[in-house]
Amino acid sequence: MAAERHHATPPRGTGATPPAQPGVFDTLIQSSTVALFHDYGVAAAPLTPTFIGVEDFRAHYPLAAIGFRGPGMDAALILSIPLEVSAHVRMEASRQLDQRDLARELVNQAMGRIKNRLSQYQVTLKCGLPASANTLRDLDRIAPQRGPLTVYRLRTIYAQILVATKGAIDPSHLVYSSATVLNGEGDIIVF
Amino acid sequence: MKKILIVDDSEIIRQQLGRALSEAGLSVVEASDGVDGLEKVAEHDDISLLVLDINMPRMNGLDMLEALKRNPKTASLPVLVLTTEAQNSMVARARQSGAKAWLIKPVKMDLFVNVVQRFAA
Repeated sequence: MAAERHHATPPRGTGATPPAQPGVFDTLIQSSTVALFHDYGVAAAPLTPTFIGVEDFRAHYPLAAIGFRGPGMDAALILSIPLEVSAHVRMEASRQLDQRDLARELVNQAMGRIKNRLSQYQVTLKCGLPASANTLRDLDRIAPQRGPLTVYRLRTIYAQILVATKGAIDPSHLVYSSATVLNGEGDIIVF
Repeated sequence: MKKILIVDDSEIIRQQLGRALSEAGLSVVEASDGVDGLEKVAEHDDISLLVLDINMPRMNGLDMLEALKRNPKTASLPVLVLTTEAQNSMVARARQSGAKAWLIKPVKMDLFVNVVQRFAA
């Protein structure tokens, strides 16, 4: 999958050019969120790299975020789903979907997928509870205030979904091992 | 009619599961976290099965599961775990604590209903 990575504030030392090659973590985030939306009936694909500012990020509500910590990581995963997209998310609920609750649940499920895939890289994450936010400033109670905001845009036929990480992520701690057996989304493990 | 208790902090998930179970002819009670779940278990003495999320405020699903199994009145209640968590260590803890199955979100609703019907007492 072609990766794209957008920094509202370019990380130190990278200059103004996005990295030519995606890192493992970039790919994990993109593939996890693309697969998540696919499971709920929304086809999504990464866009070509562009820089995106904080103001642009704020334009996409509702926001939901979940904090996570692990070796070399102290950050939050943020998801912004425009209403044009959430209207097409296939969740068979009996009442009208609350958009903030939907965003919270989807960021929770995205985090679960990322956490699961990271276990194959010998990283165990501790995650908080998902929370919704009205502004990026609200995210300060969830996301670390320091560290870059990295935004990944996913294109759908309705509007763009924004996925972001805010905080410190050091990919040097990721060490792949094929010995780790992963359970997958949709699996039913009967005891 | 068998009564199923859904314990999940996401209202959307409770709606989604509740609708599927209701359409299958099952009665549904909802709780939003582990503390609420234990209160609902105490209120309803005719619950046939619990569907339990893991990551919830106040009391998480594994702690609620262990509390249920410690209480002789509720120890025999069948419990299914439905969560985004997939780590083998957590699955093992649920198994040791007496859960019947571990389901990783999102699960196809027809399969979910089948598992519930299989284990509902």
